[in-house]
Amino acid sequence: MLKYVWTVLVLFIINNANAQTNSTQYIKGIVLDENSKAIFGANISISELQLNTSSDIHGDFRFKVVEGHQHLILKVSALGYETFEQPIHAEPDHLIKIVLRNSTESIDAVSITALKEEQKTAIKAKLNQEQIEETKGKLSAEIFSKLSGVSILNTGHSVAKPVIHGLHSNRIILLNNGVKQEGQQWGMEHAPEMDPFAADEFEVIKGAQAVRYGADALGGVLIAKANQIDPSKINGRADLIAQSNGRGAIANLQVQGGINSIPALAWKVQGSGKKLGDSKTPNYYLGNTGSEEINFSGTLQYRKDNKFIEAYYSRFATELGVFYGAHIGSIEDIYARIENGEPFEKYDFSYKINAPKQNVSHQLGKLKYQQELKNGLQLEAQYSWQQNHRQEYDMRRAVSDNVPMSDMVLTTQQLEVILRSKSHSIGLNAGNQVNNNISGTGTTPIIPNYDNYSVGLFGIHQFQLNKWILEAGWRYDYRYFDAAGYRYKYTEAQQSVPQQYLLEDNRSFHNFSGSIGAAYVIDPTWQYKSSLGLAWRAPTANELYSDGVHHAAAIYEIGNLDLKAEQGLKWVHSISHKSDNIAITADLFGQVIHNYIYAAPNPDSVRQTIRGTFPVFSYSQNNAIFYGADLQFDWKINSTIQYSLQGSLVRAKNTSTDTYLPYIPSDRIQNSIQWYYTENKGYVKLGHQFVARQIQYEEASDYVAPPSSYNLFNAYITQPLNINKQQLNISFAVENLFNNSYKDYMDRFRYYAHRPGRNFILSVNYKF
Amino acid sequence: MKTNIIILLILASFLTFQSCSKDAPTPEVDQEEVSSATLTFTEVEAEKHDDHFHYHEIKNPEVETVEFTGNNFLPPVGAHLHLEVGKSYRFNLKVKDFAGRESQQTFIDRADQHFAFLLGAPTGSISAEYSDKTADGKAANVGVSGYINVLKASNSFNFRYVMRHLNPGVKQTINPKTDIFNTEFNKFGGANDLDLKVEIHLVEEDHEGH
Repeated sequence: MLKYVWTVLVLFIINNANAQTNSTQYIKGIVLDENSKAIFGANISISELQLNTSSDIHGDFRFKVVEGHQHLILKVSALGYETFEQPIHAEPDHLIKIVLRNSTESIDAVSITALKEEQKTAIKAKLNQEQIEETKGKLSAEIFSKLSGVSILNTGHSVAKPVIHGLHSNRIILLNNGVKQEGQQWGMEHAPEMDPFAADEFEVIKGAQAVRYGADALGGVLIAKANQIDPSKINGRADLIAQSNGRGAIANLQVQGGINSIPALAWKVQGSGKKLGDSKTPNYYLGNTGSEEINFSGTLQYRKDNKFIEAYYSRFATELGVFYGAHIGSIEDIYARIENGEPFEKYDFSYKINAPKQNVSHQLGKLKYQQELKNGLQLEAQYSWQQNHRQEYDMRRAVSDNVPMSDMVLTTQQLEVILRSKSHSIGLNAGNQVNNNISGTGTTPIIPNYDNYSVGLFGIHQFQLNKWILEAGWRYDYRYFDAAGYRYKYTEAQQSVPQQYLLEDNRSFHNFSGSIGAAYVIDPTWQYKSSLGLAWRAPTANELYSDGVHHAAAIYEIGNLDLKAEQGLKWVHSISHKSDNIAITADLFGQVIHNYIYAAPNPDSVRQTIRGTFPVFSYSQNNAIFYGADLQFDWKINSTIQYSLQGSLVRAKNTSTDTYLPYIPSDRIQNSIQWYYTENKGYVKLGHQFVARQIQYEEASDYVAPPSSYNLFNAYITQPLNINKQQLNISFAVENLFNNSYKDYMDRFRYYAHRPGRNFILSVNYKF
Repeated sequence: MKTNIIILLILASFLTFQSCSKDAPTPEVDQEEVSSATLTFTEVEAEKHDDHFHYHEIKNPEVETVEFTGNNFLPPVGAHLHLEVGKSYRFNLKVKDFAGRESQQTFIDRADQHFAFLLGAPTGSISAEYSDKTADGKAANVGVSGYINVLKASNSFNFRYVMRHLNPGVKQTINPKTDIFNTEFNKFGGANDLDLKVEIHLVEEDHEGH
């Protein structure tokens, strides 16, 4: 049946394509300041057409649009200037001249604008509006994985972590609405605790960005941010998404606007919820893989004169089941499952979430203040507070399954003050983090209670020489770590009860980071960027102090108090071309990491616990190298059809032992063809993804060789309907169209089960 | 500038008001862990009734006990049990938690998720049945206690007692009569709560030495 659907669609596309005429009309313009000097890097967008570009070094920009007279709203923004947003009448061959006035109030309403400005040489990728709409309802890591160079590390179906160029967890940073997200991200089975509905834009910076964001940004930075709020009108959106796999639904509602009596005040409230039952592979249900989420957020923005104040609060709460079949207690169990190829125990569909499961809540609050000072200086101060409460439940024996095995509260406060001039920024960053284990779990915590104090001072400087933009940054960080927790003293001597002792430890780390970058405008369509960054990170609490079973990997992990800080030097080159019909970006990266920390098997050592006999893994460190490339290619075949290709390649080796590192994404490409079948942006999209088998791995370093390569096909259709001034979008998607049965190397549950099968998704989105 | 300083002070005061240091850690008594385990084999008299046995206590029974302790739950060096052909034994498991309390009853309290597998004996050399009872007197079929009948002699073998913590719904798929010796116990999804190993020798009566 499906092959006939494909045939019909292909014929339909060809037929329609022939009926279309090529468009040659452009909206052209130039962005100038009040002194008629060109503004380079201004953001220009037309929301109706979902077009976005930036001005070149001469201030020029252009969009290709369909023929005829156009009534459009053009938005132009640049740091230090008032945002231009007005309806325009686009006529063929007219040049729009936009003069931006120096701003005294909207210097940087959204911090990311400032980040972009500070990092003109950074190599970035950003999702377009259509991609964001297509991924509504997905996990945050799944959304970020649509960006070139970003992949996913899964723990089953409900837990996904983003990976940038082979690095994840504490080696990358997630900026959630301008705040560095701090959860228990050291755990490979701990997904980012954020609601993607609260963000409007998703972006990746691929370089080592320690100078701007501090330690941990070895691999890069993921950015999720919300748009500015327009206080002049009340608007919002409502989303309702239903999906077949998991037989569940996701809903989101957000409203924003202003108050007539306080015109300088803007507000936004948003809430979302999710309920999914057990997911299904092509042949069987994955028992206990349901999830539930309740999230909400609120924003207040106040602008007056040359000041901007923002208050933001969000709460994310999820309960998610951990696949029953991953409950194992020995290597024997893993091998038995691998040999069987799929779980021994089969379950009927259920919405119930039982142990093993995770209950996680994350609160984030921030206060931000910006002011334009004299002499063109800008001051920005931001205080943020986060509290992450993670409870993990397991199938217990001595007490109820409702008593968590692990119950941790991580509280993080960060204060950042930045002073900017036109070409220079100097910042001070201070942070305090407290991790407490809640008593009463009846289990010795895997990581101890700890305090983590940090302070950093940084500067970023830009220079412009003809077609070159040069950027240099420096940073000094100091971090103090103070931990205390009870541990067991295991000895080989025969004794009936292991002795408990109090481990107390404190240590400090300090480090210099640096970066240099360059951007060169070869011509209006070609640009080259290069970014070299030195970043570092201190060992995390689990790497230093862990002492317990890591259930999903069936290993017993032991921390290492002798670990030193990791230091990474990453060099990324990027060349991009953007013409009327073709956009290409090719990135090449290489990174050496000194003192790379990893868990290594302790030969001939096992530890028996109530949960089985586990091989002991101790944390160790060596030197490592990562290198690879990303490619993004977009081709507008004609005015109604466009093709996209994305590919990435990562290689990683432990250079001290000359061995491949595990859990590195294999080579992959994804491409799609998109046909706009109506003039109001209705389109059909057929996508294909190929993931190669990971061949860069060490024999006998894993329980089983990496799984085979696989192909996945997806389809998506969306139809916008205009109701007065509101817009209703109805979309329908099919993921894993041919219901392929496959396993993924980057899924830590690949020993036990396949990835999910076909999924039908119906989305209704109403913008008012 | 004065305003800026005030605002910065307000922001900084949040840092002050928030708790900035960790709590003193609380030692946990690990409820799930087992510090030691003991298997005891006590000779009993078996009385056959059709297709089943009734077991009776006897005076001055032969008792074999082995304790598993330490990091790897090992029996004492050289531990070696002799069970005689033709005799029957009641076996009992005792475990202690990290506080030194007996906690074998916890397996029976969660009988729906526990089952012990007896492995390593040559096929046909022993038969076994479990005698655990739930609080309401019904057969628990867990394997904390039971009976072994020694049917024929064998060379020494590594006897393995695996107490399996089964995933939901798996216990119903186990036949307590035929699966006690099932070497493919890994197919019953779950984790091993206990994996005890000791050398056993099934000997003829009046056997001496090893």
